[in-house]
Amino acid sequence: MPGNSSAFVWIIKPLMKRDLKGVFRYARGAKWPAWFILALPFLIIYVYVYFKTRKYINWTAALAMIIFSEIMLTITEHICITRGHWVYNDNRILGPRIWGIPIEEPLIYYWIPQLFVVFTMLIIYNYLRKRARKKGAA
Amino acid sequence: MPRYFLTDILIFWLPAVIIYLFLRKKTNSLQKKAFWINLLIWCPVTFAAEYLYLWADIWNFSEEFDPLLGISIFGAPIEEFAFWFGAPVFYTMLYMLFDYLDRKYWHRRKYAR
Repeated sequence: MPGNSSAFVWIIKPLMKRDLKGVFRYARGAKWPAWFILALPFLIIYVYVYFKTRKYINWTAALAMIIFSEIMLTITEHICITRGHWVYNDNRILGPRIWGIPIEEPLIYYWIPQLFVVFTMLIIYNYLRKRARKKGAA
Repeated sequence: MPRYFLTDILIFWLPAVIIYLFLRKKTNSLQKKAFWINLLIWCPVTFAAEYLYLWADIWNFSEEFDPLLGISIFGAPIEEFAFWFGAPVFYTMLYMLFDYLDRKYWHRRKYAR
């Protein structure tokens, strides 16, 4: 049934309010920037895969992908936030917002995950290529 | 109207399918294999990340304007998985597309050497 679809959803709906810019907001729980802090373990693995693949990646394509997805995600996220598809908990983000979007998004989530998935794909591709060469040589 | 779900389809899944069809015959078997193995790895990672972030209560869903579909997996709306899993599919397809275009048009001379 829409409206009561998720255990995570309905409990906090009374807390949600729209601010003057039309952005849905709510604040619950202790203040700690989970959105930023929980990205840190991923960043450690990210640095490792970066050094593994930086010589293989096509940086022109990677840059084009980041610019394209950054523009697309900024517009989409602004729409999603003003429509209330996502409502960020003010107590779990750093605080500053750009166009209603928490600053963590353009700083971390609009480019690191994109590169991360490409890096892992390139690691797999290089492994498969080396294995195929070994098989060919043998 | 389930706009959140439609947004996921429109921004991630539809372009990814179009790019996949475009690149299908332009990529070698190893690239395809790497692409699918990569998605197999990212699928559980994105699932885990979704529950981690919901557990941390970072965001929620208002449904004031647009209702969710009403289907949930262990309490998380299915739209979230369409978003979280659609993103890696779309990003890798986008990279492969730009990589192809770069090799074919932008830096053709460099790769021809």
